[in-house]
Amino acid sequence: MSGQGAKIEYVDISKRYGAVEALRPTSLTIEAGEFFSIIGPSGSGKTTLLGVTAGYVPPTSGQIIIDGRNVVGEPPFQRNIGMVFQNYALFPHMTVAENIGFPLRMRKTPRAEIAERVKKMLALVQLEEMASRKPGQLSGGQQQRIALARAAVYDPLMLLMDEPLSALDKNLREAMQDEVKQFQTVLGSTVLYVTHDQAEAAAMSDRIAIMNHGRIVQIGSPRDLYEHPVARFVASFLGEANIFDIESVTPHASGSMIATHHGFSLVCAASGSHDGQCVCVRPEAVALSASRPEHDNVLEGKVVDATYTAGSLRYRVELAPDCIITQRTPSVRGIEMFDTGATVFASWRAEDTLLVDDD
Amino acid sequence: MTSRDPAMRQATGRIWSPARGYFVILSLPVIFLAVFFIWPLAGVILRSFGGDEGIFFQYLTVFERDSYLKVLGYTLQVATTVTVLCLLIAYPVAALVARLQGSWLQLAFALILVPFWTSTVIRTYAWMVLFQRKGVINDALLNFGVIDAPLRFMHNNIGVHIGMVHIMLPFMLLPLISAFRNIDPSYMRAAGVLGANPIRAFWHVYLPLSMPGVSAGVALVFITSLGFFITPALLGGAKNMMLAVLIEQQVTITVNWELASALASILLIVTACLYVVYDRVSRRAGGGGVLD
Repeated sequence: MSGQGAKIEYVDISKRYGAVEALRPTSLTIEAGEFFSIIGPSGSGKTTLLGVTAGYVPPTSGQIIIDGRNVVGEPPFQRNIGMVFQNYALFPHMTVAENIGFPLRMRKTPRAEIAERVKKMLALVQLEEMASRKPGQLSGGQQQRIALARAAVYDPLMLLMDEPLSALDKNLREAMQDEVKQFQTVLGSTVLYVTHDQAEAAAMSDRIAIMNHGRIVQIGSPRDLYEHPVARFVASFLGEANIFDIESVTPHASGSMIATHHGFSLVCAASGSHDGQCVCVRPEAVALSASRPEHDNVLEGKVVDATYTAGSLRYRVELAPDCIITQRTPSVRGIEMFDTGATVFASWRAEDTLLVDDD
Repeated sequence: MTSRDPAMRQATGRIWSPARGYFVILSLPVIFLAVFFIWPLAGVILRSFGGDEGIFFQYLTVFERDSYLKVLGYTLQVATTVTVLCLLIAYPVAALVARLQGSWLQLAFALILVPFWTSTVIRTYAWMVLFQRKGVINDALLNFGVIDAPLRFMHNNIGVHIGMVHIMLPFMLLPLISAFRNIDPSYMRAAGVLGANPIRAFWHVYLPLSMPGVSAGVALVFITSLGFFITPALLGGAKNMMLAVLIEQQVTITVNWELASALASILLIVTACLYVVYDRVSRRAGGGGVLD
């Protein structure tokens, strides 16, 4: 239980199943000790990348360099990588202590040392009293923690996590996010975390890669990705986005003037004039008011839906037939809500009119 | 509104419960088994204590005469050997079949189940055709110059074992395949990533997880083999006789119904005892009981 995790470099790694390119040539560097997440819809290639890293999916081409050593071609049992599986894959016929000790036993660690290290790991995940139980007698959250302990007990070069929280209910999942993150901080491991839940990834990661159709669309910190999405897919996959299709872009004093598909004129701070782009406006960037405000972008509309949820108000405002935008404001005590059907003005700054690739 | 509500209870008369239907469904098989199985079986056990020579005379005869005990010993030995051979052959085959998908899986199951379409008698006769002095196997071996004189395959140990393993194999394969298909592939994947090479992953993970299938298959084949009649009768020899064949001889040739009944009762008790012991052992070994 010591030291830093390893640095991992993927060089043009790819995987092809017959005619299907599950993973297009991808290059990526994960820094030592980094919590790196990969998110994307199913079939985006994230699980393939995980399998290639663990070693049970042979790549079609490319290299994976862990601490300066190319591991492509090495079988999984020689790679010294830890992994937490989606269903935990705890061996049902072994006790909790035997499960955690299994990787050490496979490494021919002396019996006394195994006992000691298993005990330390159990203490770290606070399940000392469960040592002699079978996995089937534990709750989902406890199994999750045992799986973490088993994956980390042998000081692996990195930890792979394949949607480890997806089987838990919502409240437990959020509590476990903090635990997983704390676990990683204590051990200093490099973590590659795969999930389809963007909120989960954003809560834990130093950096996130968003994958789609077998390739990485964008890499960045959670904030980067949310505030500066490069593509429509990123914008709408990570959080909510109001997307406007573009008819034309003309230069303007403070950036550019955008004519949208629905006939709106939007002011944008950026000076993009490329084809194949669209406009993205985050729901939080939009303000609603009853009277017409002085602002860069002001559009009149009608409230079609008003929802009060813990922490925020969410409105859906119809600006034109089949053009509905979403707006969100913190639900402060005593805030006045617009009724459904009310006429409102939606406004936002020129900087919040984001130009992103439309693919 | 619940059934405790008096008004409700009055309206329906009786309180419905899902268990009520079970009696109706179960009554037919229970009556059938009582009339055609339990009653005759009780008759056999009663008859074994009958006869003019005294209540325990038949049992004393069996245990005093070496020849009868030898038959019992030989029966146990053949059943054990056949079970072990079936397990050794079926385990790798079942592990392979369990990994098949779609039409390959259907084909494999068809191949395993095809023998059930032909009766045991006919399949045993087929072995006799192959095994004869001038049968297919001896002809081939003679023609290729492997042997100079025909070999004896029948009316000895070899024939009985080959024939019985052939007949029993599906009974071992089916529980094994079903157990293997229940082993989540992620266990073996996890074992690999955690540092187990394929051999150790098999030994520490796959084999223990497959034990429920092994114990079911072993019990099925061993118990069926103990009372097996047709194949040992046709392929076996007079020197080494299995218990079921001896019982049949007592009935048809010697016409000693009381001795035959005693032998059948002994076989029944031995089988039941072995079953209980085996179930305990496999439960303790962690593979789960036969009936789990």
